[in-house]
Formats: sequence, structure tokens, C-alpha cells
Amino acid sequence: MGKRGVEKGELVLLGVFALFVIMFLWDIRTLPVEGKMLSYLAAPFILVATLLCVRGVFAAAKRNAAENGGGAEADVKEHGSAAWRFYLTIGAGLFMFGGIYLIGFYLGSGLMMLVWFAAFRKLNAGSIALSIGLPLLLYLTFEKLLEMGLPAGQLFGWLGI
Amino acid sequence: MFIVEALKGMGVGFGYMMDPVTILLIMGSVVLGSFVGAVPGLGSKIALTMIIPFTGHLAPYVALALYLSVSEASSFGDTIPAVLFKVPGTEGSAATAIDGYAMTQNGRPGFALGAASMASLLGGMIGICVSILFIPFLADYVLLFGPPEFFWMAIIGISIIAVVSHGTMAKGILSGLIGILISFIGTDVITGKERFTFGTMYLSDGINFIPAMLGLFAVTEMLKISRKTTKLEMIATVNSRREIWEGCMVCFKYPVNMIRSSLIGIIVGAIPGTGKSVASFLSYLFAVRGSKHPETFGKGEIEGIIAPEFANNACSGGGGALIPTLTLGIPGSSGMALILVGMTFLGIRSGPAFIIQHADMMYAMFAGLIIGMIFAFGLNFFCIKPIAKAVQVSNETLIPVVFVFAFLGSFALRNSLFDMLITVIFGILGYYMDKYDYSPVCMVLAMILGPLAGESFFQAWMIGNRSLTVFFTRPVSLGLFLFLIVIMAGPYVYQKIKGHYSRLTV
Repeated sequence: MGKRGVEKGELVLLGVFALFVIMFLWDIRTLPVEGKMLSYLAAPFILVATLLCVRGVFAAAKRNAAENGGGAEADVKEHGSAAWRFYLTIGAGLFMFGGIYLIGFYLGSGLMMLVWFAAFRKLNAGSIALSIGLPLLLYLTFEKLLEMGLPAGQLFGWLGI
Repeated sequence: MFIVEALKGMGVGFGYMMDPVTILLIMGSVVLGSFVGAVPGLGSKIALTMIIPFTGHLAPYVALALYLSVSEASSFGDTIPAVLFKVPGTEGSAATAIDGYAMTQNGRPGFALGAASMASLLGGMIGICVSILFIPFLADYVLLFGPPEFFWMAIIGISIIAVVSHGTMAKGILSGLIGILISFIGTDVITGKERFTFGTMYLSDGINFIPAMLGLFAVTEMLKISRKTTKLEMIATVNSRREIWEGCMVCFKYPVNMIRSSLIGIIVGAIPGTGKSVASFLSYLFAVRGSKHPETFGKGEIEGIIAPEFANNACSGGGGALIPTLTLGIPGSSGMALILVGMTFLGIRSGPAFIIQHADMMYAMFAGLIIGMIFAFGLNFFCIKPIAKAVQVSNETLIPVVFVFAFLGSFALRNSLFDMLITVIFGILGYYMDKYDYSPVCMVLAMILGPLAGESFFQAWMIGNRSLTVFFTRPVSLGLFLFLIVIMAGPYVYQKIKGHYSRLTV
């Protein structure tokens, strides 16, 4: 059985890769040229490889749709909008890390989860509760552990403000 | 001349290994390798992943011997499920399964397993002999390598694995490049500045490749097999040890097959990035062509069992695949990529200098491997039944055991919970990478070779008065660059030519 439609998970994975590269290059921009030259040389290759992979996702979907017989164009059109997942992962990631810089890890990750649920799941009371509740749980667990002097607290200590 | 030096070296090597604790450790690693190799879907990569984090306190030559013994023992163990259940433990025994299982259906599983074990031992020994003689021969060429050449070697090493990985080349290259960037996280050794660390001390040392490797292989593999529910049923049992012994002895009746298949294994293994599945199927093909009765292949022909096993073991472990790994720092296979990981973990830089600087260690490693192979043969001879039971182990038992080892290994490295978090993150990443045919092996290898590439690049740049022409003006460097172009363009050119000729013939 061939793969069905566009592999949305792969687009998210590629988005994660692209996000990592963007943030890495942004982070090292202030380094002297010796420290970032190879990263900058690698960046165009990463960009090209990522775009080839994104194109490959749609090409595979088109091929599979054609193999499954009929409705190939419609199938591709229907799933063509899936590309936003790739861009959304990058955007949401930047949003989350921006959030961490501005408002701290727990709230930032909560915002990220809210965006995620809004995009990939239905935004409802449960998802909102989870988006707020889980960071809160993390906060209480690790901050409390930190106060108690347990090593687990150190794990997230560096991420909090 | 080389033979005398090699014999002297091996004498010293065996001297290093003649320590009861070392021998016990080798026995333990062989047991682990055989069992893990026998469980379908695991194989030498998982066995190595589990063992590497615990070898930091050992003498490097002992640790290296353990790595190779584990790798080779898994090549012994993987034959058992191939013969008994027609489920190859690893890709290397897929060709063996064809005639091995047919022989089991004919009611002679012991004979097939005995023949396969002896073929594995003999193939492995021939591979080691060639490596011992050939590797020091390359030492004369060491002086030709400088920073520009080391840079290209690192890039070639990553590219080869990228090209031969399961998905498209773009996916392999992307995995490798991301791995290189991950290796750059932490304090830059050249400028002393931090890169992508968020100002935290946890990341100032960079992301250690061992927790990442544990995540990408052990956790990923467990997540994968947790979704499978395969139950293996044994159709025939091994009742007589005499039958196994007869199988062992039959190998000596086919000296031509032995030499031909072992040479195929060594040559294929020495070509970086190929691996033992290519070697075993190629030798099977040659065995069919060279046979006077090719119609018996596929129906339990003994030559169809021993040929892939000769080649498989001459290729992996101490055989052909080790030659580029040790001499050039380019892994001969994905399994060898993990041997490189282990060497880096021990603080040993593989490559041309290794042969000169650590010749004693190299011979000790080979001596340990020979001991390990003899143990592996003995284990296969005496303990086929328990290993066959291990093949049928349920996921409910296997997954927690591997998880415990993986996280223990991750934590034990620096007593850090952060490393365990890294294992989790890379486990999830690896699962999705594997699902969509990206290459976790390439990513880990790039994390190992990335710092080497970075340092060599900077040194070469300085040697060339801050000019990049130094990478193309030195003869060896230019040759390596052209080799890289051939590797990258080769598959496309081949496809184009193939397409052109197929159009002409239609």
C-alpha cells in the first residue's frame, strides 16, 4: 500500500530542521568569521536539501495519488495546503523561543502548545487546559524539586527565568 | 617484511589480551552481540550503542576489542533466526536465509547452522588476516595528509553514508548537515565563544554524541518495534550436536567458495558505504554461477549458506569494512560508523595517524577480535537453543531492558539528567527521521566528524593565508575533492546513463 497523500509529519520534521538552522545562524551572527565560516558555507546546502525534500514530499504524494488511480490532481490539490505545516513549525518555533526570551520557559512553552493545538488539533477547552496545565505542572514539579535541593530541579532550572 | 612485522605485532597484541578480566569482558560482549544480533531488527548497531557508554573507564585497546567483538558476534548471531525462521537478524544474513531456511524445512537445521557458524569464523579470520597485512602497508602514505585533506576526508565520510542511506540523497545530506551544525553547539575551540548555548552551562560543552546516539538508535528502534507484533514459530529444532559438527566440517570441502566469497566480502567491505548485505548477496550470486548444479540453490544447497556467511564476516568486524575506517577515518559501513563513534568516545582519532601512533593498540584490537570470534563460534555451537529462544523474546520484555540500558548509559556518562533529556529528544527525532527515510547514522557520524571538519577547515584556511584555494591546489586534497564530486554525482550520472540506454532499447 502506497503512502496516502502528503506526509504531514515529514513536513513538520523538515520545519524543525529549518527552524534549527535559522536559529543557529541567527545565534552565531556575532561571532568572528573563524567561528562561523563553515556553518555559513553549509547553510546554502541545507537550504537546497530542505527544499528538495519538501518538493519530494509533494512529488511522492502526486505519484502515489496517480498510482492509486484517478483523482490525482484533486488529491494533490486537496493536500497541497499541507505545506503550511512546514512554515507553521518554523513560525511556531520562533514564536516559542521568542516567548522564552521574553516571558520565560514555562509561559513560552504554554504559548507554543496553544499554537500547536490550534493548528493541528481542534482548539477546545481540553487543549487550552493542557496548554496551560502542562507548563504549570512542569513548573511546580521542577521548581519545587529545585527548592528541595533535588538534582532533577537543576534540569529545568537553567531554562526558567 | 610486512608479514614479519604483522606477526610480531600480533604477538604483542595477544600479550595485551591475555588478562583474565579482559577475556571475561570479551566473552560478555560476545554473548551480548550474539543475542542482540539474533533478535530480528536489533543487530550490531544496537549492541554497540548499548556497550559504548560503559567502556569509558577501560583501556582503549580493550574497549576497541569489545566493540569489534560485539559487531562480529552479531554477525554470528544473526544467522540463527535466518536459518530457523527465515527472518534475518540483520541485513547481512538475508542471503543466508534463502537456503538456510530451506535446509531447516528439509529437517537439518543443525547442519545449516553448523556450516553457517564455521563459514562465519573462517570468513572473519580471512578478513582479519588481510586487514592485518594491508593496514600497515598504508602507513607510508600518512605523511601526505594535512588539514585540507583531513577536512575532505571528514566531508567524504559523511557524504558516503548520505549517498548510500535508505532515503534520497538529499535526505541523507540534510541529515548529515544538521548533524554537523549540532556538533558545533557549545564553546567554539577556535574563538572560545559559545554557539547556540542559550548561555547555559549544560550546552556550553556541546551536545554529547553518546546520549544522542542512544536516542537515535536504541530509543528509536524500541519505538519502532513497539508497533510490531511478530510471533516467530519454530518449524524444526536442533537435536544433535553431531549434526552441527558435520555442518562445521562441510565448509572445508569448498575451498574455492571460501576464498572467492571471502575476497568478495573484503573488497566490497573496503568500498566505503557498501556494507555486508551487498557482499553476501554478491557472493551468493557468484556461488550460483560457479556451481555445477545451480538448480539446487534455493532448495537447501550448502554452498548457498556458506558463501554469504564467508562474505558477510570477511566484510564486517575486522574485515574489509575496517580498512577504510581505520586508515582513512571513512566508515566502511553504517556499523563501522558506530565503531568510529566508539573511538571518538575513547579519545582516539581514527585515520592515517592511527596506524603509526597506535600500532600496538591496533594489533591488540585484532587479537581481542580473534579471541572474540572463537568465543562466538563456541557460543553458536553450544548454545543454539537458548539463542533461538532469545529470538522469540516478546516486545514486552525486550523494550524495557533496552530502555533501561539506554538511559543508564546516557546517565552514567556524566551523571547528568540533561543527557537523559537529550536521549529522549533524539529518540523522538530519530523515530520520525527513520519513518520518513532520513538517516540517523549520517547524523551521528556528522556529529563525530563535524568538529574534525571544523578544526581542519580553520587550520587549512590559516595555512592558505586565509584563502580557500588551499583546498584545491594540493594534489591529494584536489584528488579527494574530485572523489567527493564523483560520489555525489555518480548516482545521478548512473541514472541518466541507465535511462538513456533503456530509451534506446525500447
